[in-house]
Amino acid sequence: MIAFIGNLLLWAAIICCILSILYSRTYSKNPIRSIRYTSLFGVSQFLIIFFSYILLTYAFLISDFSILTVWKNSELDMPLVYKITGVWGNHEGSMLLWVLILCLFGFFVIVFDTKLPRNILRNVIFVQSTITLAFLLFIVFTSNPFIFQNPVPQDGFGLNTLLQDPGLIIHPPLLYIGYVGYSIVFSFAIAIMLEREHIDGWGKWIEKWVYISWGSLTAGICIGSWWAYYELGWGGWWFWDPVENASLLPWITGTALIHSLIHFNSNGRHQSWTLLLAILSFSFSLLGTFLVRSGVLTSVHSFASDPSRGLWILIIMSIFIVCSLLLFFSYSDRKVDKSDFVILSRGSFIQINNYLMVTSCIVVLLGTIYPLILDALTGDIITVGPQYFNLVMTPILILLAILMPIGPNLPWSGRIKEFILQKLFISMVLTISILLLLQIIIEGKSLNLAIFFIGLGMWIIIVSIIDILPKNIENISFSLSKIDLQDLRKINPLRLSSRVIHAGFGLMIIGIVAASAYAENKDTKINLGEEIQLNKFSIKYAGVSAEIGENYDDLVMNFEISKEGKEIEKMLPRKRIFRKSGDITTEAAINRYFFDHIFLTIGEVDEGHVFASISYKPLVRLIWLGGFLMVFGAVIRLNRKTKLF
Amino acid sequence: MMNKSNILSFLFLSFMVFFGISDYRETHSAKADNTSEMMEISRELKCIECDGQNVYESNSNFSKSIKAYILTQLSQGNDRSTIIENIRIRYGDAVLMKPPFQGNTFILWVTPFLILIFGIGFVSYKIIKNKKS
Repeated sequence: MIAFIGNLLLWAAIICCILSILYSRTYSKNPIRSIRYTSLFGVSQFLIIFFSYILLTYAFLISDFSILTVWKNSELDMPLVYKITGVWGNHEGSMLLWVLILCLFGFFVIVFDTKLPRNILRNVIFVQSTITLAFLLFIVFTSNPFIFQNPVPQDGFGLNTLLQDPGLIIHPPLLYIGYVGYSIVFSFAIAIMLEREHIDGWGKWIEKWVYISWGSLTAGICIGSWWAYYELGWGGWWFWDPVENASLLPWITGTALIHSLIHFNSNGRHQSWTLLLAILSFSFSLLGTFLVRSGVLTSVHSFASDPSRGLWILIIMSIFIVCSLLLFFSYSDRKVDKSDFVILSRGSFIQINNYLMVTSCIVVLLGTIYPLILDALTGDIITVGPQYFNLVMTPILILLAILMPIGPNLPWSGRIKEFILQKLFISMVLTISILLLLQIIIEGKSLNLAIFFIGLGMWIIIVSIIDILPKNIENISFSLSKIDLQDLRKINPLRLSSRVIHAGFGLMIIGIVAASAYAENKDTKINLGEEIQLNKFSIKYAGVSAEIGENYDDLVMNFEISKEGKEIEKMLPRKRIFRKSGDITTEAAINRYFFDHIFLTIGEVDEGHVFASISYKPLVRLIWLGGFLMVFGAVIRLNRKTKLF
Repeated sequence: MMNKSNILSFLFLSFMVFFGISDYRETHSAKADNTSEMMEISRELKCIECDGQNVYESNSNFSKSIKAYILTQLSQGNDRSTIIENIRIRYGDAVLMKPPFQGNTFILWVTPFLILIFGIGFVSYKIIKNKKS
C-alpha cells in the first residue's frame, strides 16, 4: 500500500513539475494566469514531495519491510531516532531528501519572496522545476525508494553501523541544504540571464539564499568532520577524501560568490563574474553528487554508490552545466569592466580573493579527479593523498590569511584613510609581538613554522576584533562595565558578520595548526592497572565493563585520567558490537581540557591488556568553534536581511 | 606619524629578533624509536586494499604486513627513503600517498603553482603600471 501511494505521489510530483514548467512559458500571453498556475504547481510539488517523504519516514517507523529500501536499511530493534535518520542514510532516501530540499527552496521563493518581479519569479520557478523534474525522473527510474517486495521478510538488514551515530542525524540534511541551496542561486542566475534585458538590484535578491546555503554547507561540513573525528576513530578531522573534497568545492565557490556579491551590490561591477560563480557553485554541487553517487570514486563514506546511476547523474549534470554555460556566454548584458585596478581598494582585494578561491578550487578539483583521468587515459594508477593537498594549499592559504583582514578595511575608491593604516599597523605590531612571545615561550630557541601559521590566524582575529570595537573606544575608558551591548548593535551588521566569519576562519587556522603540530600521540599496549604519561596527563587502565544498548553491546574500557596530578576523571572508550550484523565500531573517548582534547581509542582487546592509541590534541576544539563562528556570522547577516529576531 | 619607513623598520627589526633568537631544532637523536619512525612512514603509504585509508590507520592484512616489513627494515638499519622506494617498486605509485613528481603527474604538480605565480605576476604588473602612471 505504502509503495503504491509513494509511487503515485512521485508521479504526481512529476506531473506538477511539467505543468509548472509549461505554465511558466505562457507568461507573455497571460501573465496573471501564468504566474498563478506556475506558483500553484510549484507549491504543490513541494507538498507532494513532502508527503512522500513523510510516507517513507512512516514506512521506516513502522518497519514496513515490504518496501525494499526499508528492508535494506532498517531493522526492528533499531533505536527510534535512527529509524528516522535511516531515511537519508541510504541512496534512495537521500535522493528523496535532496529533491525535497529542492522543492522547499522553490516553495520559499514562491511564498515569501513577494517583492520579486513576476517575470523573474516565473523564470526562477521554471529553472527550479526543471531541476526538480530531472532529479525526480532520476529517482523514479534508477533509485525508487518505494519498491515493493513480496514475500515480506521478517526483519531488515539494519542501517550501516557507522551511520548509527548522533553526528549523522543532522550532518546530511545540513549538507544538502547547502548543496541544494545553491540550486536556487543558480535558478536566479539563469532567470536573470533568460530575461535578456538589464536588471538592477538582483544581487540583493539572491543574497539571503547565498548566505543560507553557505551557512548550512559550512555547518554540514563541520559536523561531518566532527563525526569523522570521533567515529572513524583515527582522530583526524579532515582527510582530503574525495567525498569531503566534493563538498568543499561548492563551499569554495560559494565563498567566492559571497565576496563577489558584496562587490556587485556596492557598485554593480563584475555582474557576469558573479553570475558565473552562481552557476559554478551549483555545478560543483552536481559534480559532487555525481562523484559520490556514481561510484567512480572510492572513499571512506561513499556508502551508496552504484555505477549504473552514475550515467544518469552525468547526463543531468552535463545538460545543466552545458546549457547554463552556453546561456552565460551568449548573455548580452555584459558591461565591459574598465580595468581601473587600484591595488589598495576593497574591490581589487575581493578580486584577489576570488582569484585565490578559484585557484584553490582548481587545486581541489585537480587533485580529486586527476587519478581518475590518468587511469582512464594511460592506465597508470596513482594516489593523491592529503600530503599533496596540504602542500599545494598552503601557499594559497598563507596569501589568503595575510590579505584577509586588510581587504575589508580598504575603501571602495579613493585614498586609504590614515586611521585605517594606523589600525592595521597597530594590529600588526600586536600580532608580531604575541608571535615573538609565543615563539620564545613554546619553542625557545628553535624555529618552528607552526608558530608562523598560528600568527597568521591571530593576525586575522586581532584585526577582526579591533574592527568591531566601537569607534569611540577611548571614551569608554577601559572600564568593561561601561561597554554595553548597545554599542555592538550599532555596528553595521555586514561589518559584524564579516568580521565574525573572518575571526572564525582565523580560529580554525590556529586550531588546525596547533592540533597538528603540537599533538602528542602514544600507541601502546597498556596492561590492567598500568599508568602511562602523556604531556601533563597520566592515564590509567582500570578495567573492563559491559553495557547493553538497544541493538548493540558495548565493551567499555575504563580509563582514569588525572590532569597535573589531580582531578581524576573517567574516560570510557568503547568497542560497539552490533548484535545483528556483528559489525564492530570503535567509539573514541574524548576528554576536554580547556580547548584541548585527550583522544583515546582502543585497538585490539585482550585479557589483561589493550592496545590503546592516546593522543593529546591541543586547541583542537578551536577548529569547530571557528566553524561555529563562521555559521554564526552567516546567521547575523541573514537576520539583518530577513529580520527574524 | 605613520609612514612607510616606520613600518618597514619595524618589520625588519622584528624579523631580526625572530631569526636572532632562533637556531634550528636539534635533530632527533640517532637512537630514535623504531615504532614512531614506522608510524611516520606508514602514514606516507596508502593501504591499497582499503578505500582511502593510509597504512597506519588501516588494520587490513596488507597494512599489517607492510607495517611488519617496515619494522624489520628499520631494524636492519635501512633508512626511510630506501624502505619507501622498495615498497613502491613492489606495489607501484598507487601506494604513495603523496604522488611522486614525474612525467604523468607533471600537470598535477605544476598547474597550481603556475596559476598562483601567474596571479602574483599579474598583480605585481598592475601595481608597477599604476606606479608609473
